[in-house]
Amino acid sequence: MDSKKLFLFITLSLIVSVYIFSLPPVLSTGDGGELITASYGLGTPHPSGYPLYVQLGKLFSFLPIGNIGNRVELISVFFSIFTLFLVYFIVFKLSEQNREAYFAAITSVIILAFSYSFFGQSIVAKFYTLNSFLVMLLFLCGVNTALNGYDRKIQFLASFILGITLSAHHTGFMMIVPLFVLSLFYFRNFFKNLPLSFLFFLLGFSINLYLYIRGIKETLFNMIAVTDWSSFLTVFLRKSYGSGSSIDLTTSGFINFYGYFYAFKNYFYLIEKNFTLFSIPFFVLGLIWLFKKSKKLFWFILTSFFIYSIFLAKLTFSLQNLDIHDIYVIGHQYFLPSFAIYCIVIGSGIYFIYSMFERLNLHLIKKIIPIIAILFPLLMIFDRLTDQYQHKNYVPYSYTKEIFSSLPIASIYMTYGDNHAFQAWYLKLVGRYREDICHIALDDYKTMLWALQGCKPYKLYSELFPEFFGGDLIDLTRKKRYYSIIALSEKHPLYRVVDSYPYFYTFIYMGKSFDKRDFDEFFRERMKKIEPFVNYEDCLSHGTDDVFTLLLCNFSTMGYVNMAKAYETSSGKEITFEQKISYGDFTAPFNINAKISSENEKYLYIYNAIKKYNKMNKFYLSGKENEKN
Amino acid sequence: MKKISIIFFVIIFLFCTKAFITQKNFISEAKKTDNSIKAVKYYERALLSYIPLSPYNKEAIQGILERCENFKDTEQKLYCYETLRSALYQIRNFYQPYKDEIKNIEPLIAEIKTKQMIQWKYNNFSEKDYQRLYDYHMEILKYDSSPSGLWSIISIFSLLTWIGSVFLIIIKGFNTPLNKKYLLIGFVCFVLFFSLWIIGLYIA
Repeated sequence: MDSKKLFLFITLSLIVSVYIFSLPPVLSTGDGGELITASYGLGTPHPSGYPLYVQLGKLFSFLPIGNIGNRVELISVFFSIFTLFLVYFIVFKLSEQNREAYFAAITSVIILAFSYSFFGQSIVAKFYTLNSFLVMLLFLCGVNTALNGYDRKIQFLASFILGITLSAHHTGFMMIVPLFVLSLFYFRNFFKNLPLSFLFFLLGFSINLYLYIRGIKETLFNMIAVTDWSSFLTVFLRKSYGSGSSIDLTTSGFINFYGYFYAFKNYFYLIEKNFTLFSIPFFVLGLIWLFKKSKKLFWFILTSFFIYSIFLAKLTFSLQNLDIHDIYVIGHQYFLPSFAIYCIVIGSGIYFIYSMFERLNLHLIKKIIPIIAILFPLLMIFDRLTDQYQHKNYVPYSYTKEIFSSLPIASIYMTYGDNHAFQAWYLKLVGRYREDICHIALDDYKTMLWALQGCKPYKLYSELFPEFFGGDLIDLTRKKRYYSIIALSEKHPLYRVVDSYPYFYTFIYMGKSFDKRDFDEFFRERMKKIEPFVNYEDCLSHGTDDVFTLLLCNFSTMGYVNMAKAYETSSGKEITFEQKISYGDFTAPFNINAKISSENEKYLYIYNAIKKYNKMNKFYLSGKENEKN
Repeated sequence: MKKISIIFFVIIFLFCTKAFITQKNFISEAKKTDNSIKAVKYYERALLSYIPLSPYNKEAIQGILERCENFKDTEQKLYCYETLRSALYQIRNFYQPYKDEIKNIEPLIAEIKTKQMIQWKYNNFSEKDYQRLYDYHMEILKYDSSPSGLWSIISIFSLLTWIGSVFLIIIKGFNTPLNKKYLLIGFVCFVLFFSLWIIGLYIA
C-alpha cells in the first residue's frame, strides 16, 4: 500500500471509528424501531416499503455481535463509508489526479463526514446513507460520461441503478433529470439504446416484488400488507400520505413558484449550519473550475445539485416558518445527496486554489497548505462528539421498557404517532418483552382505527383479551387494563365514554360512569409498585441533541410528577405542573397538582433536571429563530 | 472487492472492540451497585453487547438469574426474568445463543403472569382459571413468527448474486463486440438466483 492509499485508509478508518463509537446502543428514535423490526421479520415498513433496505437489514441482523438493533444501524455506517469513498473518487477523477487533488479529495471527504446531518444519518437505523450511495453511483456514471464520452454500458448501468433506487428511497430516482440532461448531448446513441435500458431499469425495479411476496405471507411485521396491484400502488406511491404522496409531492414542484424563494432560504440555512458560510467561496470556485474544465460536466453537476437542493426543498422544505419538527424530519434527512455533491464541488474549489499556487510558483505553500487544510474540518469531530454522540443513548429503549414494565398483566397499550409505536414494536416483536401486552397504534387522533401489529396473532391474543376482541372496551377499563399515551379530549371518539387519568408515563382509561372513589388508592399503590423501575439516569446522560430523544425525555417528566403525587403528604406545598402533549396538529394541555414536601421533593428535582437537560433548543439545527418557538 | 473486504473487517473489528468495552464497563457497574434492579439493568446492557465466546455473557446471565431468584416482589421478579429473556432474543443471530436459559425461564414467566392475573382484584379470575391462563401465556411465549433463518440467508444472498450478475452482464457482456461467454454466464446466474430469491422470500 503506497503512502497515499495508506492516508486515505487511515482517514476512512478514523471516520468509521467515530461513527461506530457513536452508534445508539440498542435502537435509534423515529423510524429506527420500525425499520429494525421490519428488517428482522423480513416485513414491510411504512410506505414506500423500502425493500432493499429491509433485506440488507435482515442480512446485518445475522451478525453474531451486539444486538439486533445495533447491527441494523451498521448499514448506515457501511453506506456512509461507501458514499464518502465515492466522493473522494469523484473529486480525484475531476481534477488532475496529482498530490494536490488527492489532498483536496480527502479534505472534502472529512468535511462531509463530520457535517451535522451526514454524521447524524450515518449512525441511526435509516435508509438515507444507502440512498446517498445510490445517488453517488449514478452521479459517477454521469461524471464518467461527461469526462470520457458516451458508453452504452454506462447507460445500462445507470438505468439498472435507477430501477434499484425505487426500492430504496424515492428521492434517489430524481437523478433521472440530470442524467437525461446529459444524455441530450449524446441523443442519437441514447435513444438507440433506450429499449434495452428500459429492460435493465425494470430488472432493478423488480426488487419491489419483495413487497408482494412478503405481503401475501403472514409475517412478523407488515405496516400495510401488499396483496394485489391496488395495495402495491398504495404502498409504493405512498398514497396513504395524501398530499405527501409521491405523485402529489412531485407535482407541487411546478406550482406556486414563489415557494422557490423559501426553498432557497431554507436550504441556504441548512448549508450554513452544516458547512458554515466559509464553505461558499470554495463552492463558487469549484463551479468556476468545473465550468472551465467541461461545459457538459458543469451542466450535469449543476443540474444534479439543483435537483437535490432547491428543487427538493421546494417539494418538501419550502415553508415560510419552519418549526423544529420540519427541520428535524425533513431538513436533517432528505438533503444528504445534495450535501455530497456540495462537498464534491468544494473539493474541486479547493483543488482550483492549489492549482493556482502552482501557477504562481508558490511551491512551498503548495506543499504545506493541503496538509494543514485537512486539519480544519477534522476539528468538527469535537462538535459531533458533543451533539450527536449516541453511544449512551438508551432513552428510546429504556423509556419504552419502563412503560411496559409499569402495566398490569394482559393490558392494552395504545400509542399515537410514530415514535412511541415504533419503539414499542421493536421491544415487543424483536425483544419479545412482556408479550402479554397487546400494543395497538393509532395513526389519527380523531379515529379509532388501530394498527394491531403489536397484538398478533389475533387467535392467541383473543383468548387473553376477549373483552377487546369482543368489542367491549369499557369492560377492559373496568378491569384497569387499558393504558395509552393519549390524554383524551373532546376530539377523540373515546372521550364520550371514557376518562383518562395520568398513570406514570402514560394514562389509564376508565369508563365515565364508573365509581372512582377507590382510584386514588389504586394510583398510589401502583406508583409505589412501579417506583423501583424508575430510571431517570438515561434522560440525564444520553449526550445527544436528537429531537425525538429530547421529546421522549420531556414526555417522561410526567412520570415524576405522578410519583410525587403518589408520595405527597397533606403538609406539602401544592404545585401545579403544566403539561402539554401534541397529537399532530392538535395540542392537549393538562395540569397535574402535587403537594411537595421533603417526602417527595426528590421527584421535583428529577423533573427539573430532566427538563433542563432536555431543552428542545439544544437541537443544533434549530437555530436562534426556532429557540423563540 | 479487496477494498470492500478491508472496510468490512475494519468495521467488524471496531464493532467488536466497542461491544467488549461496553460489556466490561457494565459488568463492573453491576458488581458495584447495591440496587438489584439497577444491577439487572447493567447486566442486561452487558448482554446486549454480546460477543461470541466472551466470558462476560455468562457472567451477565448468571448475575441476572441470581437477582431474579432473590426478588421477593413478583412484579420485580417478572421484570427480571422478562429482561433476561428479552436480552437473549435481542442477541439472536443465525443461531439463538443460550437457548436453554430461555427454555428454563419461560415456565417461570408464565407462572408469575398467571398468578398476577388471578391476584389482580379487578379481574374476575379464580384459581380455577389457573391452568387455562397459564396455557395462554405459555402459548404466546412459545409462539415465534420470525422468518426462517436459513431461507432468509438463501434469499438475501440470491438477491445480491442476481444484482451482481446483472452488473456482470452489463460490464463484461456488453463490450464491443458482445462477449457472449459473459452474457451467457450472467444470464444463467440471473435466472437461477432470481428464482431462488423469490422462492426464498416466500418460504422464509
